Amino acid sequence: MNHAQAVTVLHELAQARERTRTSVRGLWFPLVLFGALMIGSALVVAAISGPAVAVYWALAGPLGGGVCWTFFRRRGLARGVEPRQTLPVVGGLAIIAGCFLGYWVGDVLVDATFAATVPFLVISVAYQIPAHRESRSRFGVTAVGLGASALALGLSNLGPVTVSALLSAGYGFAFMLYGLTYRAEERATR
Amino acid sequence: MTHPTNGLDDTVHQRARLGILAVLVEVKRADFNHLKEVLELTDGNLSRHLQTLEEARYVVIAKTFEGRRPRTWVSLTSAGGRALRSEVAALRAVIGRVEGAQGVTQG
Repeated sequence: MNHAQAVTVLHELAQARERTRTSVRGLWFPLVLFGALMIGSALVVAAISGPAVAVYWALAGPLGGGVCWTFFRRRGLARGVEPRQTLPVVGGLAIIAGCFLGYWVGDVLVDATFAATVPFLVISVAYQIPAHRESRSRFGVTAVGLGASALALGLSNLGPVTVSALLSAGYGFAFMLYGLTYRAEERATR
Repeated sequence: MTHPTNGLDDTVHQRARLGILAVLVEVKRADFNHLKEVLELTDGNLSRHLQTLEEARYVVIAKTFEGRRPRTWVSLTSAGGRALRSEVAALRAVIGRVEGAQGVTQG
């Protein structure tokens, strides 16, 4: 085998891998779903109380994860590829655990307002992984921008309920909008 | 010092078979039609390559039925994953060796 052949083979392998990745990807779905759930949590915070949001996410988090798992499995089977689900499931559970733990640590070490922002910082950091894996730098930058807004609100004089409601709504709308844009792009390229 | 081409595995060192392994490394399993479409192979060609890879224990083939329609699923074994990684490393070594030699000549 010569140099040119080796380069061609490696290029063809990369193309085959990319085509398969395109068949299984679909970050838009969890973005739209969890965006909607975040808007729901903003309503819970504003209408009921701050602590009620913990119960809301304890139920909505695993439920949303289960819906995503089913979505990716069914979509993969229809397209002739069954995606690996272990990493996203473990990642999702780690995000939920990180949000709860982060809230508690923020409350103990700083104050209730800062504690309300920590779950959003966890989400911003966590979303860098799928953004990087799917080469979606725009989404990575958006998540960093949202994280910076969360940090600014966490250090402001606003109350924890206001901060939590504002961030839930902001993240929710941003994720939904990005997810829908992503879906439109994905459809256009198929 | 051995030449990098000595690291090439005869079973895997074939474009279609290498392509099959490359597709499978991305997913838990892929069906026959997906492999055929992505690698642009005919039914007979793909079947022969899959058989070779199965004999080498690089892939596992499972036949299922969806209603009355048969479906063939293929998944990568850990030996198949290792074979793919070492083949890609050998190909990169071939490229690196040539580019290194060109650098010496030009320098």
